[in-house]
Amino acid sequence: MTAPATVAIPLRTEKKRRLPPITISIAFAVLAIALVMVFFPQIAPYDPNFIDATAILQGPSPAHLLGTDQLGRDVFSRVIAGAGTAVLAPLLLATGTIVVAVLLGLAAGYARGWVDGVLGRVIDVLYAIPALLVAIVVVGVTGGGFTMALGILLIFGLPSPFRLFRAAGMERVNLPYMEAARAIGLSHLRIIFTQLLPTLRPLLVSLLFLQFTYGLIEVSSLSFLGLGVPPGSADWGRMMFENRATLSSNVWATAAPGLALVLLAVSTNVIGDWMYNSHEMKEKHR
Amino acid sequence: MSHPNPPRRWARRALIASTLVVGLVGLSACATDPGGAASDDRELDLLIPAFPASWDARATSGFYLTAQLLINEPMVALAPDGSFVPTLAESVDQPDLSTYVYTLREGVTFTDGSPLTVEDVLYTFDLHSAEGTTSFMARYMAGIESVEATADHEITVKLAAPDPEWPYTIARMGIVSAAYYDEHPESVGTPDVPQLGTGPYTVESISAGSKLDLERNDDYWGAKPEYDAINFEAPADDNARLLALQSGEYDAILQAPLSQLSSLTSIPGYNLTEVPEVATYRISMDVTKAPFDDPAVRRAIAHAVDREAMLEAALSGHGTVSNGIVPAELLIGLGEAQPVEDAYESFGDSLTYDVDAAAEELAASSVPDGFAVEVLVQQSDPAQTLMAQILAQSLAEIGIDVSVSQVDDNTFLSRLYLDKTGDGLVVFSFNAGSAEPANMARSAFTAGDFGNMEQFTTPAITEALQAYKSEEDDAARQALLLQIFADANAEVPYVPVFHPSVAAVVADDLEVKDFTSFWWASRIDEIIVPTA
Amino acid sequence: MSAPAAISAASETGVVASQRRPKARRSSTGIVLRLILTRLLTSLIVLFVVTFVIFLFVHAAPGGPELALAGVDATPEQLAAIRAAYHLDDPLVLQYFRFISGALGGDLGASITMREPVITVVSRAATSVTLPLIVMAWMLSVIPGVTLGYLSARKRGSITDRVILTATILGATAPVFAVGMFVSYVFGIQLGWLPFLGAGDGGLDTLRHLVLPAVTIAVVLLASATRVSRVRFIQVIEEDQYTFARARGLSRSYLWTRVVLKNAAVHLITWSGSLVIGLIAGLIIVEQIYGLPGIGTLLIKAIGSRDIPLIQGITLLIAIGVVLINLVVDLLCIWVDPRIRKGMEVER
Repeated sequence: MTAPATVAIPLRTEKKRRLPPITISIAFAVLAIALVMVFFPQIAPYDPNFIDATAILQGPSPAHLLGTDQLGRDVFSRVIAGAGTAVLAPLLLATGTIVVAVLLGLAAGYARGWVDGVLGRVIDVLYAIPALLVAIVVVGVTGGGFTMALGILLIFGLPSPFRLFRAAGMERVNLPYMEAARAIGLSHLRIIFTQLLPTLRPLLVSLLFLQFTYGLIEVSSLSFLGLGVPPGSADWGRMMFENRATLSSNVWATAAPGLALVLLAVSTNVIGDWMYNSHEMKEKHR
Repeated sequence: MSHPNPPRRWARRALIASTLVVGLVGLSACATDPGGAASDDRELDLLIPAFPASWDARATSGFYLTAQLLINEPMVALAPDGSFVPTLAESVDQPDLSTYVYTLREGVTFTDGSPLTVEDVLYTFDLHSAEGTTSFMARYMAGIESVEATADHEITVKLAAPDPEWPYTIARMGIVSAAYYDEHPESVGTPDVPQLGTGPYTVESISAGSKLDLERNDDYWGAKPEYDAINFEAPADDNARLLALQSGEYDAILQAPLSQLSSLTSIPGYNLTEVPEVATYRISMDVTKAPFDDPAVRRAIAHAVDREAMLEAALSGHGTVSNGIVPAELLIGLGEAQPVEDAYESFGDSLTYDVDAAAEELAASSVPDGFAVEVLVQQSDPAQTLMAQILAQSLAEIGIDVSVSQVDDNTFLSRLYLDKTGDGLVVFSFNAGSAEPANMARSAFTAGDFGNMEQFTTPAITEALQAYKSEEDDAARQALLLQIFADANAEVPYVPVFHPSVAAVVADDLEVKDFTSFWWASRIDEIIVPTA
Repeated sequence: MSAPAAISAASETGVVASQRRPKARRSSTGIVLRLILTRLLTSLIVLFVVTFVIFLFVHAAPGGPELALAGVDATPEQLAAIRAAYHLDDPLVLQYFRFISGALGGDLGASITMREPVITVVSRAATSVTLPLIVMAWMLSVIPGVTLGYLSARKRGSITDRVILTATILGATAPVFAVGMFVSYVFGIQLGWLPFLGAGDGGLDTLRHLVLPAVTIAVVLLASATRVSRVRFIQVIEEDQYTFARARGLSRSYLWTRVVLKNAAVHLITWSGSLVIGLIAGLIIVEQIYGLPGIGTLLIKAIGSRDIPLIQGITLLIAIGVVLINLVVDLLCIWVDPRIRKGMEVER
């Protein structure tokens, strides 16, 4: 969109708006728990895929903390196992999106000219199309799997971060130290990697968290529609899809993965927001 | 300088505006619910599993017929108790096994006033059997040699060969108006061009894909229809279905999904009617594809299927484990019970759940080290997915690595039926198309039929099926069918797992009479009636 | 739905006016016309790309509409006859060309399974369900959202602000399907306040049926609206112009309308636009949960039965809708903020 970029000078009257520490602490705690579940799935009391026809749809009990699902599998173990795809898939997606967006965005913002023009038009086209819609159509029609879904989400998730980095590139391209680097004779590529990129590091980290949040929601939305992961996977979105019909028998089979999803998404969002705000503060105090 | 309203007042206005918006929405919620029932006029609100894309007579088959047959009546209808009732035909004569003479009832009119004539009957036949027709019934019309109007109100149908299916086919064929179809050749059955029929009910409105409202035909030629209106609706998914019944706004769910039955029956004010369905879930092995062309492999898999577990997990026990592909009751109805029971018991020998026996068989087969296979299941049927996962766990114990792929119905049909590109192992669910006792056998053992997922047949079976067509004695028919099933069981092309139940959850102020597996082939207002 | 909150500030395809030498000025109308033309050109490309890509994918999928049409009892001859009747075996380019030439003339063909013109089917689903749903959700979220955002911005740092902020984080991040199941269960069954299945009988009854679905969508949107407006309002409040105006003693109302609102308008309008677009995917999920016969459900059914004209028609119309929204948003921004016009005048 076409709004002017303004530079704001901090005022003495401004109140620092930081999220209260307790929210951040909780967010980091949740993230830590999720990471533990990802790297130490052995803490699960049962094999998440073990089908036990004698223990179908049981409510919570000492033996099964969150009860069992339609095939007698332990819900608690499955929630722990699900942390793997819940964390790794969106992480992969976020990293991929950011890497591509950085490369393309900085190239466009720095080089401008026809490179910018072409990329800009392509990105405009992508921007016009909602990512999830395309994913639903394409994956639904072709029956494609997880990789296809991730690929589509990556491509169609590029516009926002692309524009961010393009703006960042354009803002910095004519700053004195960049001109100096060019004057010395450094190649454009070296300038981008050694001069431009490091200044963006805090932005990159905060963006990673925020892209992770969107990715988590999008991937789990796809799973909820039955697309992407194979049936029976201990994936949180998939678990909600498969256990919806038996809500009244064991509500935890659906509610537990749902809660886990919301908690993780909210936590990464909070962390990303907090980091972005801190970065913005620093930017302003330059 | 102007002094517009201070921001405090502005903020207040904004708050008021948003409260109004939310309030309006909330008020609409408090609006009285329209559609309160009148004193003695009763409406029937039914939930059925799905809707056809269009209510054109060519696009309705299976349980869609429950609505279609209320609008377009057949010449001879199937009553809920299994007998045949002359409807638009006053009487039927059968001079020989392949000829049927129908005498059309006089004085019957369509709801637009136009009279029912033999032209309409002939037109209906043509609609379903013409070259290139899209009718679901085309296959059942394939055996017609000629259909002619042999008198003012008489139609004679000559079949190329005796066909025990014929009366059942006629009972599913609602007569349409030739003039109406001529006027709207491609759009009948859509919201703007509803169906036109002679039946006890007529279309009040169609909401594409989700709602069908029928109202009583006050000029109906027969007995006054029971209900003032019958409304059909198809919930989008299991959750919506559950919520719908809990709201109390619907009178019944027909063919309720079995995985939901425990949730559905826990709702107060509703009763469950459950009968065995003439349908089978079976593990199907394509005998033309390696390694399933090896009988030892098939026997191994047969012993690795935990059928009780599958029934419990997939249908919460709402079904019967079976050793054959039709329920024993169907064959018992043809004659003595003993031969059937003996036969079915012997079938069970190759089907016992015994992992050690399975491992033994596999060790002696062409693939002693096991193999990997992809099993396709239909997205529309969660039971298949559950069964496939249980199968995967069992087969893993004997070295067969199963991956489950859930695909949509179109892909499933296309890959397995048309292109035959599956790996050869399928969790297959198939139900009989009509109440004719040999219907399943014909589908399962005729080469090229969709129901013959195993691509299995033997010359003896083909001969027996042929003999059945000209056989009129029920006991002889039973013997033929038992022979066919015994021959099949010896080769183990499939592992029958269970027959699902078919269930109706009905409000307790209604009575359910003669609810069977083929409830949809009869008038629903004769099956579900108000309690006297 | 991914409505970027704090990112929106720096993420626009910017017009950085500061580094170039100003050239001869052009008239405003000229600028606007140029914008519309370039947008239309880009849009046409977008439409071609989208429809062609979807076209390829749908044809590459296994199965076809003939299976949905004729069922499992069909003979292979029947299926072949249907394929021939609908020209499904013609070369792909030819089929696509037929579709495009039809579309350019306003004819989107007829749905194979529903036997009605695509336009009839789609407009029925849109006008009876989807569009009212979007409008309701939009109203339920934007007006309260901007109000809450203002409250929060004015009282930033206070308890009110923190409570609102925490609530919005939860609302904005909760996945639509989770919210939907919760809302339909609590308000639909347990409390029984509102219907939760289907779209009712038209008119007021339909609106009643759309309330819970609209609320589901609005939960996420409201949170997003509050966050976006709050961030932007705060940014404006921290700018020189605001402090200066305050220092000069201008009334609060002037500050609010002339400074804050006007400067935030562009952001809010842009956000509204991207919001409606992001809504589309969430719509599909919500329509599934509540059994609404809207565009989303229609698309899913069309995909399942490989109803090619219907799939093409729906995606084309959605793409056109998206393009129109972007265009309207751009025009609104230009109208509201003269600096944009100036910036465009000065650009090469």
